[in-house]
Amino acid sequence: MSTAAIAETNTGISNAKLGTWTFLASEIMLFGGLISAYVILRSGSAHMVVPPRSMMGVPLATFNTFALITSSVTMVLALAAIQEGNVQRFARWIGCTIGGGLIFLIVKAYEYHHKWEEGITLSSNLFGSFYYTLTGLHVLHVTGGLVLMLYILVAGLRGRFTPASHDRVESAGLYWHFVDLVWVILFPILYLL
Amino acid sequence: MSVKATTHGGTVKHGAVDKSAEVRTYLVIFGCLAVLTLMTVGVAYMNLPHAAGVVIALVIAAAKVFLIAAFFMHLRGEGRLINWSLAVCLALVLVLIVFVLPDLGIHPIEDAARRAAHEIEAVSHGHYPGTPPAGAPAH
Amino acid sequence: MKDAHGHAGAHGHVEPQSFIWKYVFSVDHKVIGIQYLVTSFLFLLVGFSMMLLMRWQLAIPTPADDFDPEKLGMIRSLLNWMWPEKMPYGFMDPEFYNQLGAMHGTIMIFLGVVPLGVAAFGNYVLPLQIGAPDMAFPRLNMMSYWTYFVGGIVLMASFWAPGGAPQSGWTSYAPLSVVAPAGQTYWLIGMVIIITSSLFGAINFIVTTLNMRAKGMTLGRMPVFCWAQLVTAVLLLLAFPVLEAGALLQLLDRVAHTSFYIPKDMIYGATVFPRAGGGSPILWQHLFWFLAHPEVYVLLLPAFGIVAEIIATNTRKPLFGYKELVGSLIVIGILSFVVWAHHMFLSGMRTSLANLFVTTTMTISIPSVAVLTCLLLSLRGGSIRFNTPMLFALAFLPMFGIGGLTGLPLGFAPTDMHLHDTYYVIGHFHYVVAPGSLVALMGGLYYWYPKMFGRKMNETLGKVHFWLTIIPMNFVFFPLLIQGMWGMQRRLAVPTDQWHNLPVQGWSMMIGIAAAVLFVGQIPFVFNFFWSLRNGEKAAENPWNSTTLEWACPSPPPHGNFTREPEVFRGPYEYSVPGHKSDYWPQDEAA
Repeated sequence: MSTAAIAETNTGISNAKLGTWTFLASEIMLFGGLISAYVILRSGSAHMVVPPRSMMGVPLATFNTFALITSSVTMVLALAAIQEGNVQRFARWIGCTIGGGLIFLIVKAYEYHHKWEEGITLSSNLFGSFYYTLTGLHVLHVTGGLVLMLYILVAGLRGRFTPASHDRVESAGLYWHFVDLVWVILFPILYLL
Repeated sequence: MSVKATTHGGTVKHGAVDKSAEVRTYLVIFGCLAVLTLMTVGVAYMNLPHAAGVVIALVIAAAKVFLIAAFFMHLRGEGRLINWSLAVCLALVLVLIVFVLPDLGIHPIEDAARRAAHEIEAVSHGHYPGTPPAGAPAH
Repeated sequence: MKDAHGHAGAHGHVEPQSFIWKYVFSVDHKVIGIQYLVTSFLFLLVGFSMMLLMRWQLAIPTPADDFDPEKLGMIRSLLNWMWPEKMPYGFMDPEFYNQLGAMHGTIMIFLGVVPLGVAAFGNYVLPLQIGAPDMAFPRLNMMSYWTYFVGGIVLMASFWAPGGAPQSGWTSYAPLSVVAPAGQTYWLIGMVIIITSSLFGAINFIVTTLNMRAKGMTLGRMPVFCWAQLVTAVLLLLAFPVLEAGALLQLLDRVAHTSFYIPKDMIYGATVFPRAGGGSPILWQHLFWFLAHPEVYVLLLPAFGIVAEIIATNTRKPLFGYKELVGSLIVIGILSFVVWAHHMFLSGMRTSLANLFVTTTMTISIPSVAVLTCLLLSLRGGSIRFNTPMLFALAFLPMFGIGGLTGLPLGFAPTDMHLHDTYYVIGHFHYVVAPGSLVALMGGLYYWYPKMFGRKMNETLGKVHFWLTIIPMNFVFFPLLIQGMWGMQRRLAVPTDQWHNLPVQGWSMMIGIAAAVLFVGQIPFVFNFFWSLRNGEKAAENPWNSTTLEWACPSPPPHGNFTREPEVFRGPYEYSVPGHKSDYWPQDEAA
């Protein structure tokens, strides 16, 4: 982050970063609300038919989890690279992050198709409804994150970011880690339990 | 204009910084996340009792969330403001779950338990389920 | 360093010159504040008109025995001509009544009072009071206004949807809302858009307040209004997403045939509703009220802030218990998240859980009373100036008092059983919002108008407006409490169909007349607003001799707000300090 910005705000945290965290707080409540609804009906509804694990495609979802946590670590590596002033390495790691996100989306598309064929649809049962709603909203967030990453990549290659000024990389990174973090929670509660 | 520690540790003087120590940390965290992911999947396939399975899966998920938040999102280096705000958020989500669960979630189970307890008590007092206990006022 | 460079980010934009960038897509917090002000007043007018139509229907719900359709009065002919199907002969179709009821609530809350209290005054005054040149994210601020605008249009467009506007109340209880006509979908989409707008605003307010304060403006020196806005922003930020989640689920229930809120084998229209089922309608109520109770405080906290500012200025003495006031605001903010289910005592909730919510609800009345007490005690020993803003602020105290105290029986589960779904509930929350919040916001407008437009509003017209507002309002809302205690049910287009509503039906005529007077009473205000733009008494920098920072910049403030970098030396309410040369000691005046 820009060191000049640090000194100029009352809290010592730059506006961009504080704004991002504030936004993430609201995101926590959004996903928190949906996950609460799921937890409540999962334990309270007598009519939520949870498909057997074999139908859920756990190996594929595990692979997807790896794709996301890998893209998360490449994101911090990109941040470290730009903090060292190495734009080439920064671009390479952001590229990897975008790749991880894309793999996640492709696998997800295949999964959706497969589950729909198996009869787990949005309206077939409460479980399916929650599955598609929760993961669907997450997929939207991943897609939004990829757009953000593309912007970061292009701006980085144009030399917009320096070791002293890269607020946006940091904010984008926070968002991306948050998306990863949501998946880390969704994966066990939807696939494993 | 010299600036003291940034949020990522390391001393900066405007220009570039050596991040190799942090990069090592990131890779270690990545390793931990990978192992935890494999663990949670492995535990799921052990077919433990449901409650135990839930607890273990949630503990592992919480550990992963903690690692990502603390290291990748650098919460470790953040001040009280951000950390406390996030704690408030988590508390609110918990409030939502914990306050609504007794209303819509677990109460069928609990009601069944209470009914069972009542029946046991009734039987031990020589009554049978469905008959009013002795001394109960007539309607 | 801050003084030398100004604040990061906000000075980044220069003042645009073309009309469209200066007044339409402006990123200046003052222009955006005024945009919000005008738009929310328009929506308040729309919502008020809907209420007038409903009161008209309630005053005379059915034709009298000697009713002659050939000889309609002027108003009935007009209504018959305007809505021949919805209001034949001026008698309202019950479905239309439901639509107006739902839209009146939605518009007044989400498009009227909240944007006025939070977005309009918050945007305009907050950066000035903390000594910032603008909001932390000016472009986000602009987006916030325009998303609000679009959300408002989507909501209003629902009147032209097949089947008309939403009919399920502003609470949109499932499963009725799920099976309702298309208007409900508009409502849900509109709400998601408005929620997004609120989130933009909340992020901006929080970051601005925490990060952009002038030198010396510590948190403990912030005016109460800023504290109120900060707490409000946190409530919006954390409560609204939960409704967004709930609205998303309801939207899917409607368009994608999921069954989050549809129980198994629900009977609808004499057949089983064709859904998988298994969901819970009560879940919607929980998600909705998790937002909507903090929302009540979103309506209220800015009003507290405004009243505190006006009272301090016009009593010429420091506020009684600044720390207690601020502390109470924060405690209200926290507790408001754990009281929501007191709206649901009749949903079949178990007693032990109900007891929990009774307890939290009674607890939250403590800080609310503390706020009121501080404001009331602030009057003691003051040399009060009875100008128009002060009249509104003074009226707020007893009016909010009635609103708050009538809420206690609703917070107790046993008494709520009797009062639930009666006009008593309507009387209670309208006392909080209309003679409470809205009156305080009116006071705020009279108070900050000189800052916004450089001229004072006319005092005589202002006082006429005040009395024509406060008296009819009480004649509108107090009878509702009486009707409700008799057991008159709300939400009925023709309450006379039920025998038990008949004894108190007579009050409805009086309420209708009072509502019409209230409407007429707003004409002096509208006239005054526009007339004073050109003809009002010119206002200098500090027309009320006030201490806070918004009075340290020119009226109206230029782009970038302050002509000199403000620096704060003392707390916000240093009035009548012994030994000081005047009876007010501005925050930025060096000792």
